[in-house]
This record gives sequence, C-alpha cells and structure tokens, in this order.
Amino acid sequence: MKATAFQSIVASLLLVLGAQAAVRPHYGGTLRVEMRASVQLLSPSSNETNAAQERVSALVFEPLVALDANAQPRPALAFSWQHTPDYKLWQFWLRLAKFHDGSPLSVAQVLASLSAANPKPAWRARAEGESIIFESEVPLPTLPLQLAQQRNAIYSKTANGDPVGTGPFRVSEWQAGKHALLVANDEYWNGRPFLDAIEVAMDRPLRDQMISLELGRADLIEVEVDQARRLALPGRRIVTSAPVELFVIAFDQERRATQDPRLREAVALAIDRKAIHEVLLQRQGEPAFALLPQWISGYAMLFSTQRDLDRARQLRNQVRNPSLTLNYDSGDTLARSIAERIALNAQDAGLVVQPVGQNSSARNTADMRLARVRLLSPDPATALAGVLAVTGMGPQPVAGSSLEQIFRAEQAALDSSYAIPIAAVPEAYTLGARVRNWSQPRAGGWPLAWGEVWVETN
Amino acid sequence: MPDRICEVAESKLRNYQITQLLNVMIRLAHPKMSVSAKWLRRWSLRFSVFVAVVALPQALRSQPAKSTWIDAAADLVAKTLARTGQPSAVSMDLNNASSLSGDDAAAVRRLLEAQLAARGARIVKPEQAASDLRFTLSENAGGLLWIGEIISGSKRDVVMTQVARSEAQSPIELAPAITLQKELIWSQYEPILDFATWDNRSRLLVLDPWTVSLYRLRNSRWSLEQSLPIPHARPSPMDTRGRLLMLRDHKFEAFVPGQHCTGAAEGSLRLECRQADDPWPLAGENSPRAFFSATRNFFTGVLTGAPSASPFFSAAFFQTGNRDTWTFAGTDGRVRQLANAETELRVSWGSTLAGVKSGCGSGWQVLAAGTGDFAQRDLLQAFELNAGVAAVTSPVEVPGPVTAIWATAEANAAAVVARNLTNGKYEGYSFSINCR
Repeated sequence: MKATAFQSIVASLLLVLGAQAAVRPHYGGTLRVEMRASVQLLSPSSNETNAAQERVSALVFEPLVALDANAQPRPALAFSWQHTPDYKLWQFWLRLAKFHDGSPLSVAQVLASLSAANPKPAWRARAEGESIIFESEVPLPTLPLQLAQQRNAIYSKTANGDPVGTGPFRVSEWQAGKHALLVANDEYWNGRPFLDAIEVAMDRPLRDQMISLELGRADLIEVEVDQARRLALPGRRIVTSAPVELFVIAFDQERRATQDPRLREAVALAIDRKAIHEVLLQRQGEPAFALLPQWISGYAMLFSTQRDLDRARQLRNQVRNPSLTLNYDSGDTLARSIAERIALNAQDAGLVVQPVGQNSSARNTADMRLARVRLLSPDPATALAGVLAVTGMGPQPVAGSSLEQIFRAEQAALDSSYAIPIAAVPEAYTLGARVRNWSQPRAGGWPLAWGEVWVETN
Repeated sequence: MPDRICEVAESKLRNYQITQLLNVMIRLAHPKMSVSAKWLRRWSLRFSVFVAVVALPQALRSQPAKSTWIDAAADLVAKTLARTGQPSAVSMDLNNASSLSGDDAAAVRRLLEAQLAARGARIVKPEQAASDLRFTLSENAGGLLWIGEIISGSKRDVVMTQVARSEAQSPIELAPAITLQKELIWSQYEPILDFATWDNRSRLLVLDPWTVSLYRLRNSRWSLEQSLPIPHARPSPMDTRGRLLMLRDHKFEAFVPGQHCTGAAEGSLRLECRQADDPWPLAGENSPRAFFSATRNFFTGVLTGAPSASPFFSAAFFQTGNRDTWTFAGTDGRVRQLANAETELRVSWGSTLAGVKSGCGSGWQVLAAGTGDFAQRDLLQAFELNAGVAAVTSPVEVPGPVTAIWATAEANAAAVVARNLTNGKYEGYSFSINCR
C-alpha cells in the first residue's frame, strides 16, 4: 500500500514537473550558427584539415556513405553495398536522388567526383549498371569509412561550372568568409529537413559567439574545449564529441638540435600529461600516449607511459645542449597554455624549452612545434596517415593495412620520439534552448546533414 | 559483380519505386543474414564441433551461440603462440577494457584458456612460465578488439584480432508486474511505423515506410515469410508516419503519407496500393478518421465522423461514462480534449499518445510518451482523465524516443515503437495495462 502511494506520488510529480515541450519534430524555423572560421569557398572537395569548411559543405554535398552518431557507416547516396570475402571487390548501389538543379544523380558523376578527389586512389572504380564497382589489389576492409570522408562528396557542375550537391540544404546566399544562408531542399531523397534554413555567421570570435547565444541571436556556437566545463550552466547545453583532435609535439627532423634521441626522449618523459588533461583541459578528452585515441584504435592503452623525471634528468645529463624552441599557433590560446606548461615541465627535468607563438600559416622556425591535428576519420589507417603527414613522420600506413600493421607503424613513430602525443581533445559546442534532436556525432561535426535537428518556434 | 555477397547495408530507403523494389529483393534474398555471415557461421560450426569434442565443453557450458568469439579466440591464440614459438608453459592474464560485461569477459577468458590448452600450451604461474601472455579486451570504432601481448623478459610483442560486434537481438524485457507492462515484439534498423500481431502473437505484420512485411514465429524466433513494397511517387517526409489497421479475416489497411494500401495476410501476403490522401483511422475500424499531411509529420486536424480539431501529432480515444472523448497532442505542444468543444489540458505529455481500453480503473486510460526530444530516452505512463488528469501507473522507460503509439485490436494493449539510442534499431513493443 505504501509502495502504491509512493508510486502515485512519484507519478504525479513526474506529471507536474515534466519538461514542457512536445517530442515530435516540428517543421519550420531557422537555425542560427556562429563560427570562428571564415569559409571562403564552398567546395565539395575541400581541404579536410579545414573543419569549418567541411561542416558547411556537408550540408550541401553528400558522399556515398555517411557516418552515424556512433561513427558507423550508414547509407547516404549509396543505399547498399556488398563486398567479396577478401575485401578486394566492392559494389555500391546508387539511390535515385536529384541534384539541387533538378538533374538526376548518375554513376558518371559519382565516378568523376571520386576521381577528382582521389588522384592516386587505392582502387579502380567503374560503373556497372546503377552501381559502382571498386577493385583493388589489396584488401579494403574500411572502404565505406574512406568513402564517408567529406572530400569524397558527390557533385555535379552547372553550365557556369559551379558545383551543386544533393544534400538536405542548398545555398541561398553566400558571402565568402562572412555569411551563408542555406535553405531546405524540398526534394531531398531522405525527406525535407525539419529546418527551413540554416544561417551561418563566420569570422565570429568565441567571445562574440557567447554574447550572441546569451542574447538569443544564435542557436549553436563553438566552445573551446577547456571552457566546456565552466560554461555548462543551467539553461545551456554543451555537447562534445569523442576526442577528434590531437595535440602533438612534432620535432623538426632537419634541425641539428633535434638529432639526439636522448634529448627527444627526455622531453617526452618530462611532460606531465595528467596535469595538462586535468587542469588545462578541464578533464575533457584524454591524455595521449599514442597518436590515435583509444576510441579509434582500440590499442592506445598499450602505449601508456608515466612521467619519469629521474630518467629524464639522466638523459638530459647525457646531451650536450639541452635547449629547444617550441612553436605554437599564436591564435590558439589553448595551444599557448599547453606549450607554456610543457616548458615548465621540461624545466623540472633540467631542460630548456622556449615557447614561441607563431602564425599558424607561417613556416616553422623552431626545433619543435605543438601541432593541433584533426583526426580525419574513425578509420585507424586514414587517421594515422593524417597525423603522420602533419608531423612529418613516415612511413604512413596504406589503405588496407591490418590493425597490427597500423599499430606497428604507430609504434615505430613513437619509438623514434620525433612525435610526442600530449592530449586528444573533443570538439565542443553550446546549444541554445530552442535546439532539439541534437545527437552529437562521436566523430565530430554537426548532425545537421541528417536533417533531423529542429528548433522550437513557438 | 562480386561472386559472394558479404554485406548488404540497408538504408533508410526513402526513395522511388524502382529503388524500393530492389531493396525488397535484397531483403527477401537475405532476410536477416548475409552470405558472409552464413559462411562464417558454417566454419564456426565446424570448428565448434571440433572444439566441443576435444577441449571446450567447459568453456561453452554457459555460453550463448557466439561463434564469432570462438573464431576470434582461436585466431588470437594462434597468432600469440606463433610469436612465442609454442612454449609448453605460459602465464595468462586478462584485462577487460571494453564494454563487455564481466560474465562475457569471463566467457572469453575460458575460450582463450581452452584454445591455449587445445594447442598444447599449459597455463602456469608467472614464475614458472616461459612467456607471459597478457590479453586485453578492448574496442574501437570498428567493434571489439582483442589484444594479446607476449612478454618475454624485456621484450614485448603484440598481436590483435578485430571482432565484429554481436548483432543478437535484444532479449525480451518485461516490466515489473505492476499496471503497465512492456514486451519487445520486434526490432529492425528501418523505421517501424506500426505493427500488429495475431494468432496468439505467432504472426506479425510490420509496416515500414517502404514495405509491409509478414513474419511467423518459429522456435521462438521470427522468420520473414514475405515482404511487399509500397510504391512512392515522391520522397517520404522526415519523421515518416504510418498506420496499420487490422480488419477481420486477417485483412488490413496500411497508410503512409500519400498512399493508401489494402491487403490480406492469410496464406500469402497481398497488397494493393494507390496514391491517395485518404484519412487514417485514429483508433479502431469504426473510429473517426483524420487527414494526414502528405509532406509533413502531422494530421491536419480535419476529421471524418467527428468535429475538426487543431493540427495534431496523435490522438487518444476513450470513453468517460457513455461519452466519447478525444484527446489530441497538438503540433503547438498543447494537449486538447475534444468532447463537445475543444478544451486545453494542462499536462506535460509528449506528442505521442493513444487510448487503451484496459477494463481497469475507469475502464480507459491514455498512454502517453514523455517529453524531451528524439535524442533522449523516453518514459511511457498511463493516465486517466475524469475530473482532472491523474497518473495511474508508474512510468516505464524505453531505450530511446517513442516514435509511435497506436491503439490495437488486442484488448488492453497498444503498439509502441521506440528508436533504441544504443543500437539505432527501431523496436516495436506491446504495452499492456493490467489490473493488479
């Protein structure tokens, strides 16, 4: 009886205290987005290191395969696919979709788009009816993940040479680097998106973005990862991805000062990653001992090493000139904090590390630099190849590498001490109260291309 | 063209007729399992027979049929022993750094131990071992990852085996024996719009945006008997809705935006569809019907057999005394009751609800989903509307947002569809209201 009464009270409280809005998605409204970056050109085959360009591009241009919230391949312009047991032959079936100019998606356009995006592909692609066949000499077990990269988006070209996509939104206004208005594609193959439009304001500093959110002028803003915890106040929703960026020290292999492996190892052993993670990053992401985070590789824990100041001092005493310069992006305040902390850590081991802020586009002039590397894909081979390319390491794993081969490539890079991982960090965004159905993708980015996000307009 | 189909990744296929037909053909050819899976299972079976006879009766005693695990354990141990040079004495340690449960991790340990034994390796204490084997159960974006570290002195070697995640269907869940019970009937990756069971739940008809599928229960598992496509003249709207109404003699009507189908599920499945915006039945066969907006996800509010209402997402029919009453979850977030006139109810319900004639309490209840959006888990609860609104059951959780609740022909039950946020599948539940 008491239990019954209690249940009734709980039930009544739930009735009274429940949230106030209906769950079923509503059509209509404009989502207002602000971002730091200036996207100059909306291109399907964009440079993938430019995350902002990729975010906007993904609303307009779609690949054959997309990633779901858990970073698993899901059908996009290909509605199904199959492969031989050895993964050397794949067949992708195209769905019937239309480009924004009304022309139908064709196999020829798919082949042309993929060819332009992959000058040296690991496959040979050809048409077979309404499907595409990919053939390779090596197994390509993660081909769907590779095709899900935004640079593999499919596009057509208008008479004046402008690319058009098939995505859930089409470009209505484009002011390069400043402003974009994307409106719903009524003929989208997956159904018209709930949102009427997405308005993107670019070149907005983080502080201005926060003001816009607080004044109700923005629905989605960026948050630097170290601020995510502090900004998580009632009425605000902070969403974060899995770790999709890596802070890594990359030694300049050409410089004399970096040639001694004992010096590089001393730096690696002096860094207190745990403190960087807990204090500077406010426990967002994870301390990195490997180049790939655990969620991508699954083996990152094998590289776990502890700070060892005694060993670092021993090694420092064996080198002639324990002094190094460390570049960081002067426009990145988090990178600056980390670089300064690394210098302090190095000092504890008797090393001299001098942080130097430098414009990210300038040529590196220091012995080592603190790179903030975007992980391009949940596919371990693609992600590691990207990290090794940015840090100037090699050899890079090739498509079709087994996980053990990828592990050994990573192990070789780490054993050389030319690359020292520091921390893997997520992307973070703050959502306004109007935003509904936001399932933050694990692999980063916006879920807007799925067309399922909607805004309260009442 | 690949000679052996290994994977068919089906989509949220909202497309035109030809594509849907192709989709159906693929589904019919490979209803629940790809050829690759069959191939794997065949070899797994052979191997498990060998293992069962030679070495593994203990390991398999409490195991579900996870043949891929046996293969993976065999692969990992083979790789490991290839690196150790087949020592007779090894030590073994296992660390579970994955989302596998403790029981599952223990099962993997037994599989690995048995594999080692089957290959002539003896597990001893570390101080007696020629090599130390450290296994780690991990996972990455691609699935489970089992890692073996072979440690001999200061030397370490690493081997790995990627293991596909289990696609086993979730077990049936039963709520505590109180007034509101849920039973999982069916799950699939394609959106379930509505479903119906009959013949003591041995037959199942599932409506998704592109097909009507008929299943039969055999040995506690549903097997696909037939699947027929629903033609579409244009892409379905986002958040597609649909309604399946069972009639006498296993005939049925199916409604999806812009299409009205009639069919029968006796013997073979029959289905005839035509492009039409006919009104959908909100409750039973003789209940009022409502016009659905063909390019959106709501009813326009125009009813046949009842006064019109404001646009709404869902409706619950119930009787108070001898009076027929309708409750609508409006597109504006408000819940309204329509008896003689429309009145607003001050409740915090979600936009999905249905009426259930349970015979308990006042005889009728409204089953309503909770609030929150489609990125959150949901709660269902039964309410009575007399002088006021009262919750009469404890809320029951489903593993994701409720996307549909429909009254069924079955007494005291409603068909509920939720999208499982963990595995992305749509799950069809029967929610029944029972008297204590």
